[in-house]
Amino acid sequence: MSRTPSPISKLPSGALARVFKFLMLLSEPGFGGRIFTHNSGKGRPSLGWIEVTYVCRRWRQVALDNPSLWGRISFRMSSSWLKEMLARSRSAPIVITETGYYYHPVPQPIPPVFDMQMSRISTIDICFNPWLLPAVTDALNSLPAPRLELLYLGQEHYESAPIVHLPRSPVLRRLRFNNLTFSWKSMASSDLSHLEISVKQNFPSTLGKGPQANPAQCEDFISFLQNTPRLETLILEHCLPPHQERPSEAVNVIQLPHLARLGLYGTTLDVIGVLELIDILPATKLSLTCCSNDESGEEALTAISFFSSRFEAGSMNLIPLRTLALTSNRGDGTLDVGLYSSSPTITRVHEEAPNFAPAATSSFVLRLRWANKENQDVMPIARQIYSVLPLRDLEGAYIALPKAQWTAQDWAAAFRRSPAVKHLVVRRPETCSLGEALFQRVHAAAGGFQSPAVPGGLLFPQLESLTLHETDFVTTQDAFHDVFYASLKERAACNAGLQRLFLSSIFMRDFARFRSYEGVVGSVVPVVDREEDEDPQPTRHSISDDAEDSSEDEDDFEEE
Amino acid sequence: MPTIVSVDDSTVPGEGSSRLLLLVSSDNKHIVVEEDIMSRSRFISKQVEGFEATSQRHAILLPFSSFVLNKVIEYCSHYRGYYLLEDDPDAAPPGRSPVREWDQEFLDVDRNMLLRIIKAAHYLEIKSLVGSCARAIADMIRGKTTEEMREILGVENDFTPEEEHSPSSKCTG
Repeated sequence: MSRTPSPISKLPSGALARVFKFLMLLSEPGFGGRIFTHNSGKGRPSLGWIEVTYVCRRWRQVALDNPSLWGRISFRMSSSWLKEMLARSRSAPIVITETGYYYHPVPQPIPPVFDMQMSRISTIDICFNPWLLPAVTDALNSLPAPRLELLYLGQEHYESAPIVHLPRSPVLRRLRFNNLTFSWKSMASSDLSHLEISVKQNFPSTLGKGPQANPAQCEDFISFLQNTPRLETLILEHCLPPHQERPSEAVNVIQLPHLARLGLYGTTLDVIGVLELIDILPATKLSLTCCSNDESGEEALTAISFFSSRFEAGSMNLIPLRTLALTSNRGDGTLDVGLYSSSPTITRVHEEAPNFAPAATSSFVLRLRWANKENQDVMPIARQIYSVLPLRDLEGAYIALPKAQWTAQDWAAAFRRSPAVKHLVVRRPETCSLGEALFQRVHAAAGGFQSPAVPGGLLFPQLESLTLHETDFVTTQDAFHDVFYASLKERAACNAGLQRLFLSSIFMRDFARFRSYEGVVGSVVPVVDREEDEDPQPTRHSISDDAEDSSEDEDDFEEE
Repeated sequence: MPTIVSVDDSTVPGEGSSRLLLLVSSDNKHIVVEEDIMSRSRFISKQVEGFEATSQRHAILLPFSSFVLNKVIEYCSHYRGYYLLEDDPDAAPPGRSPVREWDQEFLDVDRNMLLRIIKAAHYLEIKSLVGSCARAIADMIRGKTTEEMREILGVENDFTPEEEHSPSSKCTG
């Protein structure tokens, strides 16, 4: 019986090659890594996308006729595979990616790809691989790389590694270093469009810090900015040139006309120092984290004062600001006061509450986190922050509070100027104040908003989703439920009902109680803490029976 | 080369920026569409340039059905006036970037339809649509064994037993 030819047999080779190119990105051959464990049923391990060469003659031919498919190599390949891939890639650009951390060293000796093929390499993306790093940096420091467009190098922990110089490549556009040492001077002139450098806090030998700090490095940094006019992204984490070492003579404000994203992490004064150097464009997205060891909070107030003056002068448009973090570090590693940006747990919450994800909106998303171990009263600083920041367009907020310090009045004071908030994530809502605030009416006379579209002048009039994270402290309290349920019921009656209530890290027994809220909110959705991203379909009700949490403020549990 | 038949101006009026094109599908359906909508197709753009050189407008005969053609027009209409990175000949390929949500819904069709759309998009030289279809097909077969790939896409194994193991077997160690 003859079979009707499948439509794919008529697919032009060019289109089939596009399919293979996507497959190459989606299913890389591991050659000993995880992908290698998949078995094709033929007694040999899976080869990732290269499986297509075993499907039929035509697919094999299309794959072999496209050298660019074979240029993506890994040092986890056996030397025979590496040689075969390089031969099949002919003169196509070579892409080297080794981004996953693995515990086994690469084959020794490292195949001479860098020395032999440097002229063909277009991408090097190697992180968390202490075995490869010296070979790469040696080659980059000694050989020209005429086709190198992207260079990402990094290590998880700082270990001694050669100082990396800017590669000799006329087409290098993207550069990212993690926990490496390099010199600003080597980057004095370049066509970079993306630069990201991050080092761990208190890194022993960071750029412009510690024993290497000197005024010349600041001058080199300024020179770098002046000579890199095509910068679109600049992210510097804990490697800002120290403010006090800045040259005394006046430096003209540097124009970076293409700068779309600026991320600065450092001490309050260093962050402000860099901001003063650059002419910030209204469209530039800013992510700023100011840290301080100052226990009095004076540095935080300095930052607030700086931002306040910029807002008033209109010289810095912070409306697109996504994250502003102001932290007062008590010197013992704990964060006492913070407008805070990231945590793995919270990232998961954001994934589960997709509308909250900052990427979903170009507006300003502010996340707040208060993690005051010693119950220091941080509200005065918080109130100042709220009084300064442009919160009118705020669409999402993340708030973690020290217990019993955040009253319904504080909620109103903070958010009465933010009628656009749609998504709110609250960590450990330990008091009834959130419930009270959700039905708080904000009157124009009290400095709030006034809009005919706002039902009853409610706080958070447009709130669509609320995520309660780590609610285990409160969910056994009847008072919490009484106030909270009543508030949500009233909002529903005002046509301002909540569409989704996400619950994260709660006890199973408490989920049943929240389930009864479904009459007054659209849906109650448990957020499952996943162990592995690979878990394909976590069961919807597999909520942890044990509210175990490894976050840094674990002591708060004990205090309960 | 497509077959081109002459049409008079009354059939395909040309006015200002919203001139119309007449597309004829393989099942002989005549579909009138604004030129702007189809400008994402390099093939159509080249045809239109040819019209301007000869001052004559023609119907464009296409070798796929009206059902497929209408899907392609729906795609082009949705992205009318949008800049899509994949259609920019100077831009680097988007790599692992996620599939646009609208594209996912648009391509939620059966296997044969998906393959017909990518074929039509390839013919019309709409790179972004080829890319979205290719990504959808790649998603269907990622992580699958060769046997599963054959089954999913209806491909016949035409290897001899010797050929089947030849290209990479020397490297599996």
